[in-house]
Amino acid sequence: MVQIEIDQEKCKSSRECRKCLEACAEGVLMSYPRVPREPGKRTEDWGIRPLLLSLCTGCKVCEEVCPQGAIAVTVA
Amino acid sequence: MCEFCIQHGEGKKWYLQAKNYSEELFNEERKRYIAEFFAKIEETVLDDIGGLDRLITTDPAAAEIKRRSVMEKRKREHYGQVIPIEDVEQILDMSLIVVRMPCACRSILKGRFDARYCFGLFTFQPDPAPTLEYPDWTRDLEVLTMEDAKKALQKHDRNGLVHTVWTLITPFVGVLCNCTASDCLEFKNRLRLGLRQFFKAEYVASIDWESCNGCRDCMKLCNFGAISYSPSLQKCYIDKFQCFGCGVCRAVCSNDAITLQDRNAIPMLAKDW
Repeated sequence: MVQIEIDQEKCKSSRECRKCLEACAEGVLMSYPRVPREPGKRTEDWGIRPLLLSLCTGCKVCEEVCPQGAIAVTVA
Repeated sequence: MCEFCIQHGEGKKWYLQAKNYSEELFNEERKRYIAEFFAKIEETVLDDIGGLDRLITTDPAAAEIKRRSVMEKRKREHYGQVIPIEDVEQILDMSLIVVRMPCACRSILKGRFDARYCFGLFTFQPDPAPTLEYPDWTRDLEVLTMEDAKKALQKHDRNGLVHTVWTLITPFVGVLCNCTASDCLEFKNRLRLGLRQFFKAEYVASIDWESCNGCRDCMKLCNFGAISYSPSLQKCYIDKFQCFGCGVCRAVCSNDAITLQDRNAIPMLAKDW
């Protein structure tokens, strides 16, 4: 089993950075609005979270490319 | 033919029926659905796809039940089908307005709004014009001339992107997408999670062996791993069970060796959607 923990304090914006999203060949992670969308407003606060964990190989490339050290992958 | 052709196409291709694009279907219920769809797409994806993903590793029997329930919901609301470029062109010929917009899958999986691979279709002038209140999705909308829309879609075809049509509350066809296995959530759902949210095309590809020179250019474009190469014969094979009938392999074949056949005319494929 693989677990991916995201430190939401350290991850500033999945839109401006995108490094983990682009590095993951399997497409395990998703970019999502950290607060629900409101009519008339652009979403400014974008986080990262695992979506397709069953596709994760545990390779830790996301952990390695994260400039904030916000991602921790553990393989049990 | 696929079940939508029977239910919504009167035995013909459902996505080429003008009634499935009609203004009559663009009612208040659909407008609300579309607004909600774009407001909450990430939440929906987390519930449906993320929920299935968790069950795949923890409870396979429950995962199978989840697959069925999500598929049935999606058949009612937002289901798709692969279509080849010639059918794309027929749809554009029926359309009055084509709007290019950000791809929701690439927003979720790649974190980008500038990947504008999706096209909204109208065969009528909506009055009043629909207002989508979420600028995440409307910031870069472009209304294309029909000529530019055709050129953009032909370019996607040459680059090996798979054209798909999607309902917004079935059977209303509202969106035309250009998908790949690496970027698109729907393809991951189908190919990796076993969750069917679109039908294969009404077609299947076939290689004329007399014309195939074994160059393997077609293999590079296939998103479904349907093409293999025989070094001993120096020819390519198409596994028709793997083939989704998108037809993008044809564009790179310098000998025009690949054609699309009617899936429904091949006994063991006629029920393989």
